[in-house]
Amino acid sequence: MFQNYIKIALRTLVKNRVFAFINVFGLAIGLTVYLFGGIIADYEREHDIMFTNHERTYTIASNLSPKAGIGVKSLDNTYSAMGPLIGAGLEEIDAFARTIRRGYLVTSGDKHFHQQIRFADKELLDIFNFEYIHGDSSALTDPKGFVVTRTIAMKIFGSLDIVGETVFLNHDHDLRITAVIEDLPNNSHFNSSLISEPVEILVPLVALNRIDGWNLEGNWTNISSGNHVYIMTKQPMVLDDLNQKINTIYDNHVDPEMKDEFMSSIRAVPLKSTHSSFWDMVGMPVLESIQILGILVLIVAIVNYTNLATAQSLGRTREVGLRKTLGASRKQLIAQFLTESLTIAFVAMILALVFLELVIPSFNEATSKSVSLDYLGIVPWLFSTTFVVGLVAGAYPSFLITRTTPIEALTNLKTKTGKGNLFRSIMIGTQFLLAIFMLAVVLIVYFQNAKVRESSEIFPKDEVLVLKRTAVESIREREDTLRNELLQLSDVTHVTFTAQTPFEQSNNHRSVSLAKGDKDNEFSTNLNLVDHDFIKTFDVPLLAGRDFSREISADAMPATDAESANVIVNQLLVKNLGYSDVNEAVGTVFWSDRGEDESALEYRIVGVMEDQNLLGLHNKIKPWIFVNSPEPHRYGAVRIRQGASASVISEVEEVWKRVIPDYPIEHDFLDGLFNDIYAIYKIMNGVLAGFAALALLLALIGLFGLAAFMARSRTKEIGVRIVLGASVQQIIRLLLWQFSKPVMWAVLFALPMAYFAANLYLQFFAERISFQVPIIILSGIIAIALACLIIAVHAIKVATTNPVKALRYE
Amino acid sequence: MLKLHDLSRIYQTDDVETIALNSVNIEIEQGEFVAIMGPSGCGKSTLLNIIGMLDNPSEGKYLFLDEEISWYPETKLAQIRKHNIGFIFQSFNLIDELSVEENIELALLYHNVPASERKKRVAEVMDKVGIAHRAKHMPSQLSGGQQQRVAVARAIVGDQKMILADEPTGNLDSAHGQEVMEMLQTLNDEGTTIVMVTHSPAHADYAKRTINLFDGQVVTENVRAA
Repeated sequence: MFQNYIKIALRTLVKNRVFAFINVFGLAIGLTVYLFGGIIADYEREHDIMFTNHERTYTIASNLSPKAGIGVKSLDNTYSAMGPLIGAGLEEIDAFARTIRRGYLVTSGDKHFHQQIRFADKELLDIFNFEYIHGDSSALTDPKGFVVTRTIAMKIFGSLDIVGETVFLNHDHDLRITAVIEDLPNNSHFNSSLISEPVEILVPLVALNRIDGWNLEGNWTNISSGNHVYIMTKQPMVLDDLNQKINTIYDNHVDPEMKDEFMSSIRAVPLKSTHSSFWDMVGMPVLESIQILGILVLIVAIVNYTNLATAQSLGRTREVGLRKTLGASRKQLIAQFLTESLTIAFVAMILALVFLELVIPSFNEATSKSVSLDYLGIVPWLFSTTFVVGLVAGAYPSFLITRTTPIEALTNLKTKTGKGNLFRSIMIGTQFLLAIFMLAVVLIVYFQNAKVRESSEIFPKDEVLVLKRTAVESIREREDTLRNELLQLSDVTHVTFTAQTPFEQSNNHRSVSLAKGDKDNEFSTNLNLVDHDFIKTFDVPLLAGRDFSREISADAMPATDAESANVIVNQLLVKNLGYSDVNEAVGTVFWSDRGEDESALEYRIVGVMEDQNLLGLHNKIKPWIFVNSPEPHRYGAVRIRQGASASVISEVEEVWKRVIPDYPIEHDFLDGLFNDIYAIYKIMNGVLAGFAALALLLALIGLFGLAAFMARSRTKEIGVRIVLGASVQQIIRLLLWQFSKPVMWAVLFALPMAYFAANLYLQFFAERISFQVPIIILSGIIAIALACLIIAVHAIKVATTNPVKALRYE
Repeated sequence: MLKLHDLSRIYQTDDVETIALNSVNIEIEQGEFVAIMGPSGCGKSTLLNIIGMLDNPSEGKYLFLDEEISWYPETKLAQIRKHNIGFIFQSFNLIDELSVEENIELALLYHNVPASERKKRVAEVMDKVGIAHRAKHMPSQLSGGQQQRVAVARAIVGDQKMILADEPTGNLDSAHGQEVMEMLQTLNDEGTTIVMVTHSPAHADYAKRTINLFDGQVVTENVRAA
């Protein structure tokens, strides 16, 4: 019996090749997207499981207070001071380790390399069982130890057998290689971060203490993404339980004010989720969205199948009637039609796996991930998906068609086109609802991204060459020489040194108030340490007062512990201080605390600049203070004349080489820095667009098939209409109307849905586009236009057929 | 074999009531060959559908093998039907996607007959109706007469006691029509009850008895002289 079902199923497929192709292909696309979404989400959520202790290893993340105001709701790490505190206070602890990321110049012989170094507690090697090529897990007990990956060993030494070799950090600090480890896998958080570079060099934290005076107890001031506090418990723990215990420790040590103002609590993140906690940090449910979109596309594909199968099944009523006459029960017939849809689902699933095998390698290459199809692991999932898809897709057609009585079926007495019309309309409506919804969301994301890009244009992005990694005392000493030499170049107009460039996602906070020590009227502001030329170099307009000047000695803060400083602030800060007119504020003073130090610092306003979004991207405009500071600046910025010759970069490089021969230059245009972060938005938009395009494509394919079918089944009716004098236009209108109605309904429902989803996304941004509604309507119009086009193709064909032919048909 | 007593069938639509059969009384014995004749719309097909248990009467009684079945639900009728009644249609109603032997086998699929037994019986009936040489062909590759022979084979493969034929020769030329009628004659001779609707007086002559219907009523019954 079952064989017979399959046989009929396959032969029906072959007989209706076009529809079968649409069905199988559509379902396969839906399944591919769904499976891909699921596999990616799983991959992202299951990192680091290659480490033996992963089940009892956690990283500590933190939840921010709503008052924190740095644009994110949580951070993927916490204060480094929490490491030793949890290590001492948690009964179940086995080991803890912290990592601190710093950039250094690594020198071996006469070769120099700028490298990111992870300074780590030596216990890191107890927690993670890295693969050692040379050396072992005691490699960080040596206070001068230096652990490198295979890639770095080959890059610096051209050899792996290098244990005992000496390297220098920033020329002054000698360390020696104690171990060489294999490169870390792609699906480890060490290597997969979207925001920090991969871990390639490990050095004990005690070395950082020696080189930079880093306090080994950790601190309560500095948090930077990409650093971590790891804890390993004796046994895997219930997360709530662990969280409760570490928060008790946190509460016992944290300054209550800081808890209220900044970090309200901490939480343990299982190691395998550490990688994906980046998305928790930025507050975008990206992985969930990918999965939901995958499911939506699959639904569109299923609806496609159901719709076409329903339409087609009308042509098979005779078969059903006959089978009933021969004694088939309804149950048996339903079983038969479900077998058919299951067969199709099965074929589609195989095709989907082929698609995946084709897509995944290029995806891996583009994203440097190592996603793979682990068949053994996903077989149950594949089978249940096939089964559910087959049953859901086939349910309605089999219900509908087996309802016919044999007499109806065999004599064709009853009208047959009426059946399932409403259902089909609802299905088409559903498909377009989803397609329009996705299209609208994509367009909104696209335009919002364009807005982000557009607002970034306030800075002369491609005329500023940023020199990186200048935060070294010995470079600081040569800043003036470098500036003067660079200004000799004809294409260079300004040179500035700054702690922070535009678009860099970093927040250096100060609490300030108008009156000294006025805790009640304090507010938080961002601080940038610059030199005399920042405003000029970045084209920031001044609204009142003046720029820093070399003529006025008070403009340059003499030392970091000075009592007062001349500052340039932005308009928002002036407003927060309570001045209504920017001119009023010039010459006045306000006060700041200095973090842990109790002494207050007096700021005198010399200039007020326009509110510009220095952090750019999704951030709100914040109050800013610019101090002309003697501290080492992390960046140099070279303003290049518009239309400068292409050789200007090599000229800058030459000057650098002459002035600072001991550190290699690293530079990028400001545009490049912007794009590094903007790329995340672009990728997201691309992914969304892919989903939406597929959904729309599926909906259109489905409509195409259905329109073809309905046009065919209405040939006779249309023939009669033409004989009675209907014009071609009238016939086309008739057919268009039949399908346009559900699409219009879809638009009506999609609009509020898209509006809601769009607002969720836009909330993430400080500067939002204001024209969501026209965009949503536009996407509706696009969908309707495409739908009409598809239907019109058939309608014209049918309407221009000779009616005699149409009437002879059937 | 069966007995219809004061049987009526009324089609009810929104505002029109059509009486297709009006107090019909018919009795058919085991082994009879009965032809039903009458003009279009007189209720022939309705009568055949009710006898074939594809439709329920609105009023009256239907005794099949001494069992009153007029009120039976569809599932129960399907059980009786599949073991006792075979159908032959004017338009053959073969399934295009199945070969000749698969079409015949279809009738047995719903009888829980094991595969080996099915094969044997399908082969037997194909021999009987002379279509064995076309076993693997698809319906579209056959002539009308051949298709109707397949339909006959399908109607009898389950050892049905009665065959209901709705204008079995209506779509055939006279030679092929003759062929099919002779086949039915043979089946009747072997003991199968046959009830046939036909427009052709010549083909009605094969029957031992002819029932004439007009406006849903039996007007005459002629018994052919033996």
